[in-house]
Amino acid sequence: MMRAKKGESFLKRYQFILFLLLYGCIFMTAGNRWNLYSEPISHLILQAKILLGKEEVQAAGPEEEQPEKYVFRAAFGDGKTAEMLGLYLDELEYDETVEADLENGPLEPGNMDAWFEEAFAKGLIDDVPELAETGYVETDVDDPFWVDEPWEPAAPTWGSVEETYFDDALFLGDSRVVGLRDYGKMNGHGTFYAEEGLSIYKLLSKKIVPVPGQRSKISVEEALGQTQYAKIYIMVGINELDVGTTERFKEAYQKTIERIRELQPNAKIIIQSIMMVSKRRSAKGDFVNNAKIQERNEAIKELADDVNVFYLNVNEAVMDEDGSLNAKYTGDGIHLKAQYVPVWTEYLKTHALIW
Amino acid sequence: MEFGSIEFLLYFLPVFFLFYAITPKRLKNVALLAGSYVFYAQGTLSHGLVLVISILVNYGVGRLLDQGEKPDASQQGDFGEKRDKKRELLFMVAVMGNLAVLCHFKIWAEAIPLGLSFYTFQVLGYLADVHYGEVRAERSLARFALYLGMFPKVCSGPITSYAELKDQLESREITIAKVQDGLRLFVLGLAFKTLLADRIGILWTEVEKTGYASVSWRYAWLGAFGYSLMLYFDFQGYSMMAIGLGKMTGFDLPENFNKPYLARSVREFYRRWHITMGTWFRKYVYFHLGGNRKGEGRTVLNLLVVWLLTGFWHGISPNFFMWGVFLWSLIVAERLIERIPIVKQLMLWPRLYLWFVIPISWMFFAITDVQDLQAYLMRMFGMGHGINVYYGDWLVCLKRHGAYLIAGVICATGVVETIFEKLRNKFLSNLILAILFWICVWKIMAAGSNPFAYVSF
Repeated sequence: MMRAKKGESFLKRYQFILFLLLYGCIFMTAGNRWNLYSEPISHLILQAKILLGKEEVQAAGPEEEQPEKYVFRAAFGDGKTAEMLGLYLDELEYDETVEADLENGPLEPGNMDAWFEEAFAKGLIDDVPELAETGYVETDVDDPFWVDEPWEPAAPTWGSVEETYFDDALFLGDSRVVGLRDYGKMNGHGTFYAEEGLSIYKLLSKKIVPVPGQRSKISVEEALGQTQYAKIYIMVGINELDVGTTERFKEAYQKTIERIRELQPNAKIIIQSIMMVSKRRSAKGDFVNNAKIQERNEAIKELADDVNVFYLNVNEAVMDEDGSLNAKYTGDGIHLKAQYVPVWTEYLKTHALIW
Repeated sequence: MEFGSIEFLLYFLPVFFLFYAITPKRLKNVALLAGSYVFYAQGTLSHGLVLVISILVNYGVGRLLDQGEKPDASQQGDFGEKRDKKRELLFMVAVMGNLAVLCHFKIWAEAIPLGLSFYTFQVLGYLADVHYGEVRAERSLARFALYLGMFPKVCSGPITSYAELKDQLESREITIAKVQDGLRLFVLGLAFKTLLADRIGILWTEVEKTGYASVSWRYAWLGAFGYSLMLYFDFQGYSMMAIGLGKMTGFDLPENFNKPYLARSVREFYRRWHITMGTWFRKYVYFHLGGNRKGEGRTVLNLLVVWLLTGFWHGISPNFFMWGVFLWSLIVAERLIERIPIVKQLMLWPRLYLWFVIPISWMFFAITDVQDLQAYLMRMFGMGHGINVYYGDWLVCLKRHGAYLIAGVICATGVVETIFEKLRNKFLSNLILAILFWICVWKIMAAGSNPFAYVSF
């Protein structure tokens, strides 16, 4: 076993190891990182308990009841409306026999605002519901029946544009977007708030936006409070492939989009798919692989509502027959080479949102 | 598992060594074997099987090839010859078999099992040593498995001969002083890798990103220097970690680097770079072919064979062969030039020559596509068409990486290792190294992992 020099004190003999442990404790405490040990240990203890039959295997419990703000879309003009609204009005304790008394006549798409105002004024309903611009009625009632007939508002279309289209466009993202900025040949059109290594978790908070006339930068969140954009393109995701779960990534993405919507209510947000990596890079065997990227793309695709938030699969422009990033276009397997970035720009120009 | 990962540094390292420390001496090999299994098992299952099969088969072959005591005259004759022929055949088949496995993975498979190139070479050396009677075969399967698969060196060497480890496998002394010595070396290696190699490596990824044809000549040279330093600190760092871990488990593993960038010729460089590989090639290929004892022409040919094989060991694409041939041609030229007496006295010029040719040689190594390689080399010499070149790129590069390049150059002179030795186990050096360890952990957490360059070989 371990033999020691005679007469050496414990401190001297174990000096290096003790120093390591000391600084380790400082490091873990200062950075609040003890969970690196506490989590696996408690997990192991739990597994042991289960094995010993001392604890039931807990199924994932029901999510805490969240008051759900449920949006139903009225299907106008097909007769279902009255039935749906009838149910809704029941909630408001509306007595339909008095509908005839209203000057605004029966409830119809064109007179919803006026109708509800009048009904409220006459005490027929408790509350005037919030009518969103696009004709949705927001209600607290959770009834799946109500989305049977979704109403699709006139959807924006995708078409070809000139580069001036990007004058009121904002590009947010990581090093790939930096490449778009530097080599995309946008000729000055478009604003770019992007940085190497940026992740969805830091997208809004990191101070990456330069301010003319001052040395320190501001965060994207602050910048969004100052200038309004018509289109906001986002591409992030490659840097955080090994951080957290896809679910957590999607949640963070959703929160980010919600915050951007708050700051920029009139902007259309375009989620660009996370650009794939080359086959070779994907086969390296680390956390950067196309399967993972695909999984995350599928998750963030669900965040699009095709009304204000859209999903654009830019991979179509730069992928090979198997869906990986075309090896010809890239040097390191992750970024587009300077001479091929314009391929991406071209795709953005031919797949632009027009409304 | 990677040495430079959080799971290794914060989980495996403390848990294994705690476990290893309390294990009684006669069970330490078993503990190390168990630990190595856990270490290797983190990877692909099929790759693990390859290692296990390799261990089992080669153990068996080794036992069969065992020459036993030196055969005396009475064992010669018909019976002796038949046995020898059988042994010769078995040896050939075993060597071919091991090489076939190596070639299969190198040429056709998507991913190469961790450490395959390294443990295959060690096993070939072992079989040769046993077959030619230099050493007895290992009788214990556990010790043989340890020889090939012990986690300190299974991934990327150092390539250690069986003879060097034989006695240590049987019994070795483990003192707390030695453990801490090893740990300190490990931390220094970790620092080289994490704080120097990974940081300087960013320079090269930026070059790749821009495109090989899109660099100015100054930026191209900065790229070459950056890559040269990165590769050195990456592999030297790994080797120090491996040797450190070896020390911690009680093994003395051979040195792999000896300040290569202070060499005065390419020949000398490759006696200081990846020393264990050079030794292996020298013993099992060069000397077998006759070394330099069969005349000048044959020597040149032997060197060519060695360098082609070295190239192939690193990769099968044409650039690796070009790399080997390039170095070979320099070495042949040097052999002639060194005959001029005055050359041996020069101090500065040979070094300038070295720092000129070695970075160029690394470009053959770094850039796989031959078109790209050609483009880059031409850019280095200001020739060829630059595509979309930004002529201030080298200034941006210096601003971002200049400090680290300078730090790299200073460290490449070996001054760090010297200080490390002089201050060994002094209060100050323990303090600094301990902090350094946690700085590296912090960096690794922040950056995500940067696998060793040599892991893919």
